[in-house]
Amino acid sequence: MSRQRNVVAGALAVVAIAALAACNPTKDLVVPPPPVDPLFASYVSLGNSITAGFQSGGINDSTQHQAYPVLLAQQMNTPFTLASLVDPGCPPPIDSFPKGTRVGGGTSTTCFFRSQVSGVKILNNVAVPGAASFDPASPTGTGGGGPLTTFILGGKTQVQRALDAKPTFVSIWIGNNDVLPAALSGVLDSLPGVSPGVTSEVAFEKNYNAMMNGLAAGGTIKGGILIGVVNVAAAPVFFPAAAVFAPGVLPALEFAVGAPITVDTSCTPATQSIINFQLLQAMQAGTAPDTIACHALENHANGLGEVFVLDANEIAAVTQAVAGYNAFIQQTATTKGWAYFDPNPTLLDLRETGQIPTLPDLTQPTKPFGDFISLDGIHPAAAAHMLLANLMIQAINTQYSTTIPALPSP
Amino acid sequence: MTVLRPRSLLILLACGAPVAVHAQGFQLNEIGSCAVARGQAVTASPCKDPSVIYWNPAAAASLEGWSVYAGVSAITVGGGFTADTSRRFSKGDVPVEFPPDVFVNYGSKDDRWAAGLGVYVPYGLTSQWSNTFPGRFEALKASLASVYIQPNFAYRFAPNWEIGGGPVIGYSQVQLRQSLDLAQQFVQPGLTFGQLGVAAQTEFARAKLTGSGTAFGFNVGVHGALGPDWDVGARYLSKLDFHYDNAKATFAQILTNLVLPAGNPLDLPAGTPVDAVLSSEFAPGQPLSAQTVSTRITHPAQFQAGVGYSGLVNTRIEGDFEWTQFSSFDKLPITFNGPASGQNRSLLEDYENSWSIRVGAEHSFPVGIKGRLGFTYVKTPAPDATVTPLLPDMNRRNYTVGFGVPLSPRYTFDAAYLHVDTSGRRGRIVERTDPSQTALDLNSGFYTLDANVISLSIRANF
Repeated sequence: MSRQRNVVAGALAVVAIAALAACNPTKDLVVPPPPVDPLFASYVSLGNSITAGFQSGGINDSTQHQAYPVLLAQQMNTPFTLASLVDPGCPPPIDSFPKGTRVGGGTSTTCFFRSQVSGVKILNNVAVPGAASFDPASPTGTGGGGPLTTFILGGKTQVQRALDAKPTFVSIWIGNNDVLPAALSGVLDSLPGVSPGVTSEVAFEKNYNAMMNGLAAGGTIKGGILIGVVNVAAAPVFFPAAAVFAPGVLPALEFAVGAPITVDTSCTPATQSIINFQLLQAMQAGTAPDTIACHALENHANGLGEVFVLDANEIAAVTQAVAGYNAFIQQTATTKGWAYFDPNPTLLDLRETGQIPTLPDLTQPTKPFGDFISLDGIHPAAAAHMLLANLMIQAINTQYSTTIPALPSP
Repeated sequence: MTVLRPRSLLILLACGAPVAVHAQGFQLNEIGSCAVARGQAVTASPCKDPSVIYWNPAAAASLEGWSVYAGVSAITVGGGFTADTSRRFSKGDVPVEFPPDVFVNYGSKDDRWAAGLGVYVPYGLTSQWSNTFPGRFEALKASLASVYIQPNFAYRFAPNWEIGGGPVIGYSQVQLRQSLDLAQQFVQPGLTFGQLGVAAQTEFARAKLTGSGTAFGFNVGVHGALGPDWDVGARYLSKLDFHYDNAKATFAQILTNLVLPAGNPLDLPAGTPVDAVLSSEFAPGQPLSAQTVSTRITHPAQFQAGVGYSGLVNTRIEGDFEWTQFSSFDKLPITFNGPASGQNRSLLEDYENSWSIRVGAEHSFPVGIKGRLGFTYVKTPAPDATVTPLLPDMNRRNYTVGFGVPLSPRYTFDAAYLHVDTSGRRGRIVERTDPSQTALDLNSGFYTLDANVISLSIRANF
């Protein structure tokens, strides 16, 4: 009997050992490290081209990853997914100024679409180039983003896609396109085919509230930062009309256009008008006369002095509109207990210190607007995104007593 | 206008394959309560009942007279998937299944030969997930029942040595359900809705496939004694090629509520509902209309051999090794017979041969009651890149216990309990579209899996 007992005991031991081996299951999850604060467990950024990562008149995966929300998420230590657009882009960024050639030889209508693997369920950067205040909560939108609206949002609104991520923290930088397209055109009132006009403050507030209410309906957001609208009249794409009287400037412009330029008598060394650099590109393309006028002229065809030109009154109107927007945005942030950041003092400081030039350096085709502004003269370059991200980090840390580490100085 | 390509249906069919061929996956070998209780280690020292027709056809020659063995198992499967990033746990939603088996055998009174018939279900489980499971685009539900009918003849060609075998006629039914992801559909060749911005896992349809197939094979075995206390046995079950011809595939539209904005790349008016654009694709003759699909799934060959020892008083023990030729399941041909015929292709599975080690014991108590115990370690055939919602297969440890009670001189009642235990395994919830994609590229979470089986059988001798 003892032999039998030993064998049976041995069989039981085999089963027992196997059972013990089974009692230590490994939950082999690949879980990212926690964010620097639970507030940032799910961060979503809403906005327009700056937030989306548009630079030099184009956007691709590389520029998208240089955008400030990516940097913020990185410093927050929180997962962040964007709608990656395949290089060279959609459209590819400009690689030479003022010729306007683009990366990979594309044009302004070239698009390489989203990458196959980027069809993600959760999108953290829902910002769309061209979006105005009306767009984030509207299924139809203004169309300002063209096909990029679909490529990024896929048939949903910014608010809807933001809520898909169950955000705990949001950043919102919207409103630049409520004034920029009109300012660039030089026509501040709505004129079909020429200008969408400047959004009224009443309409802006209505749009902004619709976006905020939509986000609040999700019930997950615990904090955020609202960013003020840029005073687009100070964008480097505008140069002072009076500069044409400075030595060497007009010849340089004529060289860029490739033809003599006539300076109308409406321009004087004391004029306060500013001119969209795109006027020179229109001259190159033959869609505008080779004449610079500094305010609207009566009985002139082709919008001479009107299109691409902002006179002193128009500059004041743009500035006033932006100030009105920003007052409302700041008030909204205060009401919700969120952080607020106004980028204008920083951008003005860069301009006053010459880090953002008054006139583009035409001898530097890959960096005509300096380190901080990309080749389109409108959108921040990588260095500016880093600078702005650090300032936003300061604002967030101050508001929420968090400890998001700063980025290294650009 | 859009042109949908039902690539997800290909996935659906591809995913159907593991159900059919996962002998180490869904096959719990729940055939005959005595064998189950002994850890399925019964090739050399078989149970004294007609289920040997499956386990070792040669051993049927040792059964005298008429004997019938009928049983049923209740199988519950547990487990789920935990996503890496969200840590959300999605529990499997598998209903209890009850695969039956029945065997009848007549053994000559001189113990020289036997003839019989076995009907059993070696594959009989369901994989099912909730409607919100993120992996539902790989599999929402898959059920399969493969019935094997095996006539058997066994012959004792020398004292204590027998051979046996017979043809196997297989009949298999499959039902598969899957959510279809709009992001994976083609707007035009080479361009998906995902590339146009549609979010991944945007459910716009559910596909259902039902089909059946038949196959033929054989099951043979040899059994003998090396002395008064030692038994040996081996058995080979051939592969069965199931042809699921003219399986029915149907599609039901699910509303996405997406709206095309101004300036959309489809040049449609702002505000156009995406669902309205898609609805035409479900019309007769369109890619997502009802159509037939054919595929061919090989159930791999199995070989098992064992050694039994009965020199202990009232006790016998056995150890078996089992090998399954899963390498035969490396690709899966898909043939559409409808509007999607241009999408025919072969899908990669890359399964590997698998094996298991089984040990079991049976002790006879004085009153005629049998006590049984067993353990099986099963090596999974699924490579790291093919751990999917349809079958998140992994190495298994099977623990078994059971008993047999004589109810009368003619009738005996057997019962067994089997618990399948695993350590969990990393897996994916997305399709593997390219051979270069590795498990590291694809796997995004952790699967757990366990199962419990209660098997009950009645044996009658006449």
